[in-house]
Amino acid sequence: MSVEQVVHVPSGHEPARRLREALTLLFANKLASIGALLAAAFVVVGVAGSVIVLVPGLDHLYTDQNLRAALLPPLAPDHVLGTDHLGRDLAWRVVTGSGISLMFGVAVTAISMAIGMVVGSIAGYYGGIADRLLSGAIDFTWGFPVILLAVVLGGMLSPGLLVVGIAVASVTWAGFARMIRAEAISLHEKEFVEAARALGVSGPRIIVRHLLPNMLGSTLVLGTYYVAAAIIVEASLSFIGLGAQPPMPSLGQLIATGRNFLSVDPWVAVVPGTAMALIVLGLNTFGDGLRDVFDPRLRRW
Amino acid sequence: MLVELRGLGKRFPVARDILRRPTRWLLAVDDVNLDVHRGETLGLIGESGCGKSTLARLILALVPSTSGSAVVDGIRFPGASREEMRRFRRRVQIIFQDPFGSLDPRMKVEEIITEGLSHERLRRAERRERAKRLLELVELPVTALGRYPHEFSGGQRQRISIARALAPRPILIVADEPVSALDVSVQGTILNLLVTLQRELSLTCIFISHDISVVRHVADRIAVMHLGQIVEIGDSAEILRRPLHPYTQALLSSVPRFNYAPLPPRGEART
Repeated sequence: MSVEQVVHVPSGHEPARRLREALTLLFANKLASIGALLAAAFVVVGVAGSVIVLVPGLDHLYTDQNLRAALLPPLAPDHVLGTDHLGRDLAWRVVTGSGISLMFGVAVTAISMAIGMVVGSIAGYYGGIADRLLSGAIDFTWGFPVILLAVVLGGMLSPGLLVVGIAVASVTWAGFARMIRAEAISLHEKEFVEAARALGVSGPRIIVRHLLPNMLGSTLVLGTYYVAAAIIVEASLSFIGLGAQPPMPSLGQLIATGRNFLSVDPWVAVVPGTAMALIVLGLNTFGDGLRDVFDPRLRRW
Repeated sequence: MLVELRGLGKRFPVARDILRRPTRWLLAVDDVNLDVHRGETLGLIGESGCGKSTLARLILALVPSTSGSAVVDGIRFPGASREEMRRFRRRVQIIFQDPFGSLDPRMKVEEIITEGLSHERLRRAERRERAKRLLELVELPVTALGRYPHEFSGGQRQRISIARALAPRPILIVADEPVSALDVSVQGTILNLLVTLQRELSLTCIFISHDISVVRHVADRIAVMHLGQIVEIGDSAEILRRPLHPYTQALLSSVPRFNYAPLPPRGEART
C-alpha cells in the first residue's frame, strides 16, 4: 500500500503560534495598530474608572468640590486637565466617565450580541417558518428609532443608564441577529455541517459546536463597532438628560454639563468630548484591524 | 438488500408567485428505482448536475424526498421514527468531495473524527484511544490528533473525512466524488484506501463520480444517471464493454483510454 508523505508542520504550541500570527497581521496594518493601542489605552483607563466607580470610598476623586478652583484650564497645578464649574478634577471625572461609558457600551453590546446570536442562528440554521417569523421580528425591530424608545421608556420609568441600556439593547440585537442569520445560512450549506447532520448531531449542538465558533470572528468585529455606537447613543441621550444622572459622570453626561459653560470655559466640554472621540476612533479602527485578521479571504483557520 | 429506492424523486422550487407558491420546479432526482446489495460497491456515474449528489443526500436522509420511498437498512423513508433515525445516523455515513469545506476549520482532528461517538458517552481516554485507532485505519500519524484541518494536504484531509465517517462503525458509506478534488497522484492512494477499508470492514459502498476511469476500479456494479434518472445499470465489466443506452455510449466514448497501473496489494510501499 502506498503511503502518502505526511507533511509535518513545524512544531510549536499551536494556540501560541496562532496568536502570534494574528498579532502580526493586526500590527501589519498601521491604522489598526494605532486603533488597537488607543483602544487598549482606554481599556486601561476604563478599568481604572470602573474601579473608582465600583469601589466604595474612591468616589471622592471625582466628586470632591472646590469652588475656589472652579473652571481651571488644563495644566493647572494639581489638575492636569483642569476643573469643572464645581471645581471637580476633570481628569478623574474623564477617567471615571470613560469607565462608565465603556462598561455601558460593553454590557449593552454583550447582551444584544447574546440575543442576536440566539435569534440569528436559529433563523438561519432552521430556515422555513421559524426564519420567516424571526426575520420579520428582526426587520421590525431594526426599523425602530432608539432615541424615541429611550424617551418613551425614560418617561415611563426613571431616566438613567439602565433605561438607556434597555432601549439600546432592545434595538441593536437585531443588527447582530441579521448578520448572524446570514452567516448561519451560508454555514448551513457547508459540507462540514452536512457531515455533522449525517453523524446525527442535533440542531442545537451543531449551532453551538460548528456555527457559533465559525462566526465568532465577524461577530466580535461587529461588536467593536456596536460598543462605539452604544457609547455615542448614550452620550446623545445624556445630552438631553435621559442618560447617566449626575453626579455619575458618563462621558456624554460630562459633555452635557460642559455645554453650559462653553462660552466661559470650553475645556469642560472639550476634554470629555475629545476622550469620547478617541475611544470611538480607537474602537472602530481596532474593529477594522480585527476584520482583516478574521477575514477568511486573507487566511484560513 | 441494503438499499431499496422505489420511485424516489426530489424537486426543488425554482420560481415562486407572489404568494410564495412554487410555479416552476427543477426535477433533480426523477423516479429513481435502485437496489444496492449488502457488501457490494455500486458506482454511480453521470455528468455534473445530473442529480448524483442530490440522490446521495436522499439516501442519507439529509434532504426529504418529494416523491417515492427509500428503504435503507430496513428503515423506511419517509416515516422513520426518532429512534430509527438515531440508529440510521450511525449506520450510514457520507464522504464529501471538497476536502476543504468538509472539515470544520475550528475543530481539532480529534474532535472532528470523534464527533459521531458522542452518543457512546466515552471517557476522555477511551475517546482518544478510538481516535487513534481511526487514524491508524486511514494511515495517518497519531500526531494528527491535536492539529487543525488547515495543516493538512487535500489527500490527508480526505483521510480525516474517511476516519470521521468510519467512527460510528457504519455499514453503508456513500462517497460523493471522494477523489475528484485531489491531484491525480493522490487519487490512487485514496482509492486504494477506500477499497481496502471496504473489504476489511465489509462495508457497502455507493461510489459517486463523474469519472468512469475512477469508478471502474472500485465498482462491482455501475449505475448511469442522466437528467435525474437512472438510465442503465449492470455489472461494471458488462456496462463498460457493451453499453446499451446511447447516453452511456456517449459518456464512455468521451473518456480517453487511460490505464491505471494495477493496484498493488496492501502493505507494499509504492515508490
